[in-house]
Amino acid sequence: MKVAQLVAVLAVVAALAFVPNLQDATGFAPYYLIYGYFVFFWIAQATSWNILSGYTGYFSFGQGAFYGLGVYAAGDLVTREGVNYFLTIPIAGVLAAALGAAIGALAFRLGSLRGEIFALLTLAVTFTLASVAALSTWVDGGQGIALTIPDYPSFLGEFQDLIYRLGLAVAALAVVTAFLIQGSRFGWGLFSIRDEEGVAEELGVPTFRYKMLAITITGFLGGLSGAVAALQIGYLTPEGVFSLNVPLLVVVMCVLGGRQHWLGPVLGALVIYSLQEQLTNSGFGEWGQVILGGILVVVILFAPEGLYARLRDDPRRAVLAGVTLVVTMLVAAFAGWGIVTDWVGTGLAAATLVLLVGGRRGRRRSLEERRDLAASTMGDAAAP
Amino acid sequence: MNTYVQAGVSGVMIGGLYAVMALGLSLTWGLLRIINLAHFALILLGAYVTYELTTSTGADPLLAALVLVPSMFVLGVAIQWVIERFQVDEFNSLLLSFGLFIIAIRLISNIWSADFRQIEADENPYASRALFVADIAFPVPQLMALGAALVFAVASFVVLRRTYFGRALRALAYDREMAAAFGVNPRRIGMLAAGLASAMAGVAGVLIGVNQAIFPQLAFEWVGLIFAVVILGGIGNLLGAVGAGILIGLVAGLVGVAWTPQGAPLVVFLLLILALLFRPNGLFGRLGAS
Repeated sequence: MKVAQLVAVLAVVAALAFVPNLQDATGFAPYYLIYGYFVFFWIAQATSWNILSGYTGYFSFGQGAFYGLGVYAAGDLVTREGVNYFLTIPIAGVLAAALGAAIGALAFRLGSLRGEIFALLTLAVTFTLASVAALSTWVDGGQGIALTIPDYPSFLGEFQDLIYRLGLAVAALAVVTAFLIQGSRFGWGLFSIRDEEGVAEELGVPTFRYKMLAITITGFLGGLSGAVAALQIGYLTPEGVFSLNVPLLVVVMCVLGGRQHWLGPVLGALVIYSLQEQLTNSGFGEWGQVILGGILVVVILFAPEGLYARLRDDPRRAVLAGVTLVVTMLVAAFAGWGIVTDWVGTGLAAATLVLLVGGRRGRRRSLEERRDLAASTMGDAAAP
Repeated sequence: MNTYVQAGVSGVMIGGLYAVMALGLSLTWGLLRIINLAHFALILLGAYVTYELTTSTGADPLLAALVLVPSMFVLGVAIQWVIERFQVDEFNSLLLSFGLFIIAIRLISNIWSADFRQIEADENPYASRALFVADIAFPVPQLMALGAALVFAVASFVVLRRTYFGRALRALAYDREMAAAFGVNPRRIGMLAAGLASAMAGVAGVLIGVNQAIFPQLAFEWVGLIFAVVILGGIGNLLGAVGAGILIGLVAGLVGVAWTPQGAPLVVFLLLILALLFRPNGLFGRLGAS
């Protein structure tokens, strides 16, 4: 079962890696490859965030720190030190992993550090890095950094082919890592930390070591993806790199997709990115954030468990969502609304709506569960 | 030497403004276990409403408080009602209010654009006034902020210690089930507290509108700074929040003169990280910490 899933994931990755080769035969626009790159970028960032925050429940607002460090590591090493761009990608990963380990070593050592304080600490670290980047003449120098496209072997194709495949490679690494962690003893340890850290510790789960490992992996993947993003962005400024875009969107994506399963961030990234792109292309870009914020509010109130759990727990609704996806895409295609990505975006939005709307049954059940949980933990709460 | 004294004095007064912004946040976080990021959006909205009312009617900017305090109170009660209705826990409240925050900031920039807005000098009777002691200037708008911080701090201290509402609120914070068993209505007390916190956001908005130029991104700059104030002060400790606000204002002011104004956030956040590591309950202790 596990092996079959892994083979399926690798087959999808291999098929996606082949897509740029079809360009000559079908003549599709380079735009699709850039679109694909962005989907991969968000899958990588969301999955990276989810390994720490989804699996252990330690919520981080600091994804922007790992991403930003990765972007600037690549940008500065190439432009100031003359390092080969492709070498800077793993270096960026290692640096971001070291940052993750440093945050973890400080934060997780404190037993009394509760979840929200951890969340705000990661936010503070991000702001601190942003002000260092703005102040330091080595990092930015106040004029921004222009990163030119490096020389690379010609068999890798055009720039969009290269960035597409780099994005895919990082996303595949992230998703496979999340998949392997989820099935492992380490993954079960992380889930037990999320459910009840004190009990997990008493039962012999090495919670400190596991949390350290999780935040290091999160940092590594976030940094790798940031270094690839540096090439796509081209011109780096502290305001652009350390904007709230990355930390905000990864949270929305994972909450929407579901935080307990490796597929959740993948689903969330796909839906949110395509929706956002759809809004920008139809001239509603300025309403994009309003809608994203609205999605976050609706999901937290009505489906805090996320899309993946909905698909798994309610097969009839999953079928309905699948039918909606296909029908909407076909309708959009025949009506001639824009291009392929518009059809997919419309279909995904409709299917997401079907999954989210209603579902009172599920909500009521979860309320009862909560009540039982509250009743059973009341004794513990009164004790200390 | 004089520049340092002046920077320190200004820092303390601006710290009063930070404290007014932090009080509502500290109240709901410490006592209701709700982390309300939307608080920053309400402050910004308050500042824009103050700007709009003053420029369109030419009235005294402080009169905007007459509109803002009751309407913000209602808004705060409404948000708390939703949170109670859906039983949103502490963690999800952070996400929920994050969503509201993003929506509000975006709507504000769609309505008022991303440009700087400031109440014109001839419509703002306080802007150019200052008191002088020796050579040190005390600008009136900043003095009002510090005054409001001190008044709120004393008032909330008295209310929390001496009134039924304050005692009920503290009892709920210590043990919700037990307080409810003794006849405290958690929903009513919670909505009243959330309403008061939002009303304080309205007052903070008026003070911001009188004090400075406003633009939507300002709210993002506040998030880190004001959370630093709340955590340093001790979550739920309102007097502590005022102390921490003044301390951070002082530090930021002195760093601005001694080094560079852009360095101020760096020092403040390093201070916060150190405080989180060594005094996780804040410099003045948090409510409920033994």
